[in-house]
Amino acid sequence: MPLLKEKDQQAVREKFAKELKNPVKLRFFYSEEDTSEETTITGELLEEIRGLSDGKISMETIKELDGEKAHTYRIDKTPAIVVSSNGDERDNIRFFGLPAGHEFASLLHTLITVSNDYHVELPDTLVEKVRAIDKPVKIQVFVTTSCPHCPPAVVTAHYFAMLNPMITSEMVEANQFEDLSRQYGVQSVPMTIINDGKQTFIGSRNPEEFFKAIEEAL
Amino acid sequence: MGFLDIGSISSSERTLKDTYDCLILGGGPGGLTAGIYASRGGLSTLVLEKGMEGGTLNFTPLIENYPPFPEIVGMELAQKWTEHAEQMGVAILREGIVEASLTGETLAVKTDQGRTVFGKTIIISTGSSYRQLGLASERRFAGKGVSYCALCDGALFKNKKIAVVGGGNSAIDEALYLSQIADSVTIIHRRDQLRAEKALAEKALRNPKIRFYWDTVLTDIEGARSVESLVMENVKTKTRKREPFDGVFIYVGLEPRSACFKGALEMTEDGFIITDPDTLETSIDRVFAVGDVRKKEIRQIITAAADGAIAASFIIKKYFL
Repeated sequence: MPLLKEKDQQAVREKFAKELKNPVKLRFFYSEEDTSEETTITGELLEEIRGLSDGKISMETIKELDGEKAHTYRIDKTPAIVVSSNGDERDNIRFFGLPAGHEFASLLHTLITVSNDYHVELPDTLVEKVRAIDKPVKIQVFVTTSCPHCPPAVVTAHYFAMLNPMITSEMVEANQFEDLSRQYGVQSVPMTIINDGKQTFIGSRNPEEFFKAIEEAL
Repeated sequence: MGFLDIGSISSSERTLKDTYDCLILGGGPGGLTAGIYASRGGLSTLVLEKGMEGGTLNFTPLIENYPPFPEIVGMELAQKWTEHAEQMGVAILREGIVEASLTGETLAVKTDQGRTVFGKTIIISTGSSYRQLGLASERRFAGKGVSYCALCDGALFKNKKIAVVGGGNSAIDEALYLSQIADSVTIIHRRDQLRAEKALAEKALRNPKIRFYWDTVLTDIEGARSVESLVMENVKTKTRKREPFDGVFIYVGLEPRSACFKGALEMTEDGFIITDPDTLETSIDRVFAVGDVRKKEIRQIITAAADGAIAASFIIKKYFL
């Protein structure tokens, strides 16, 4: 039984046909110790998405969490997804946890944006400011899949990472990574953690306000 | 596996006009319905929505009083509504508004992306958000156990003990949703009976995971880093008690999203926009208000939709025929 209903498969297929431009690469990381349902389903879901892309999306499945690839791509937990353009080896646009519910929309939008030469929908003045960042920034956006406020926060963070390789952006599904959520005291989503807690904010902010938090964290 | 949202993030409208016949601020049931009527009336129509098309519908777990759907998930209704509007030629731009200029010949709004859009007429359908109780501790623990969004944060309270403050439809809707996740849900309500519609109230009263503290108000929220206990007072006996809770969801009324129009339009003290009851035109010609944001008695999905139809139809009749 496919995860995507037939009607949704058709909608995704049409969306991809219309909006995907260049080839996109999905890297899916799992580990043998991680037997969670979420991880299994993540793999299946990505495989289904790939199948709807008319060859535009390719997928690499990487098993060993302690292996060389996981190290190269800085993966410390699973399930993990890294999205990049097929030609580059970027690892700074990331999803941790099953991107179901509303986060499925974040994933689709990320794939499409990456495929369109990382062309983000942000004002030009902000684009310049994001590109000017010259120190490493790590953004973790904690979400739940039933949260309608969350995809805009994830997409904004991913946009920043698309513009500047110094910025790493991660969606983290709060329920699947309970320990990490507890560590940061996540009780409301979206909750955004910049540079391991240098700056933290709750709720969805417009891109300008979001960027201010990054500046304050540096 | 639950639902997969394939449609809520779409690329923004790329080809925009400078001026629209009808500029609609907010894409909830009122705004989208106004868009459908305006567009079918031949007007060029743009809906500005900063969050998700469908507005508050997206935050409503289950809707049982919007006919002819005996039961429909809020998000699904939001998607149907959006598809309908788009099919009718309504353009939707995913930007919020930060400023409105309602004086002079041309009406204009500035968006949060720095864009200015002009309208020959404007329909304000910005809706409302949930009101805070006003406790200092409520602000302190916001996001740390105090929540206004059950769909967002409910999943983080799996097997926990939580409270819901309020007794109206929203409070009961959310309590029913949360009862599927939490260990127990305690409804704290200042009256001795629910204000929510009877069918909904009875569902909650029958739910074994939901219990009620009647005639009770929340007076303080305590904890170190996050919510640990609630202090409540019985309004009749004046007795106070403190009880451990892991979280509290607050649904005590609506706060209109009308700050942008303060000073420009006639409003109630609470910020609800005053309109002509028949035409929904505000104190400024060519500016209309529909749905939750306007002063009215009954705020329901169906009354917001009706408002949208009335305002758009009247705009066509008065300004474009």
